[in-house]
Amino acid sequence: MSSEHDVGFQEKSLWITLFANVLVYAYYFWRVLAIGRDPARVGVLFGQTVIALIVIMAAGHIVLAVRQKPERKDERDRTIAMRASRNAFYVLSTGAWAALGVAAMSFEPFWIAHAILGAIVLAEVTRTGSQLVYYRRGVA
Amino acid sequence: MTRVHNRIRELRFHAHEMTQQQLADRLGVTRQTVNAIEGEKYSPTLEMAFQIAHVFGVPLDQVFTYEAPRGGRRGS
Repeated sequence: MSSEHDVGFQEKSLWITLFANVLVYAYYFWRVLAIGRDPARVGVLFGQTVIALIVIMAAGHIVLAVRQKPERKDERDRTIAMRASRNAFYVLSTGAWAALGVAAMSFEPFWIAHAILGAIVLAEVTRTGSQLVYYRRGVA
Repeated sequence: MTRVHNRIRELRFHAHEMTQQQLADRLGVTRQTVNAIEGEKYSPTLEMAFQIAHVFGVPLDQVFTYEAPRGGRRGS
């Protein structure tokens, strides 16, 4: 028991977060390219995306909490979260520069907004994904 | 993974076969964290290292040892 990988509450919560973000935003970006740049339709799609994300996350965490007693974060959880946030910062800052590049090339606000949204989503996926890697491989 | 090695499993065995959960409860951490420390996948903070030694009633260096990198400089 001592050396094999042992999946705790925090790790399962991260899997739910990662799954929800990848699923919902993959659908959003696929649909937004299909419906074009109509601000009203994009606004509705974005609203639906946020609601879907909240519903999936809430449902996932309710099921998880029923099956496994929630645990408070300890020092290892906080260390892993800090390191993952650092990784996410690099992705977010790179995305911010890319969005500035898009703006400098005089693209429409639609593309600038989606470059920023893409950076935020990639940073969140990096944050949760990094944590899962650190939980599995360990942190020295 | 880490150069800090430990004897926690052995010390648990000698402490009336204390379980990881019992040790985790004493330390205020999750069982997964005790498992990660024991499996040398996580180096605890100095404060937690002292707490672990305190639980077993032994000095710190009887719980943890450090393996210096080869060719590394030693302190003066």
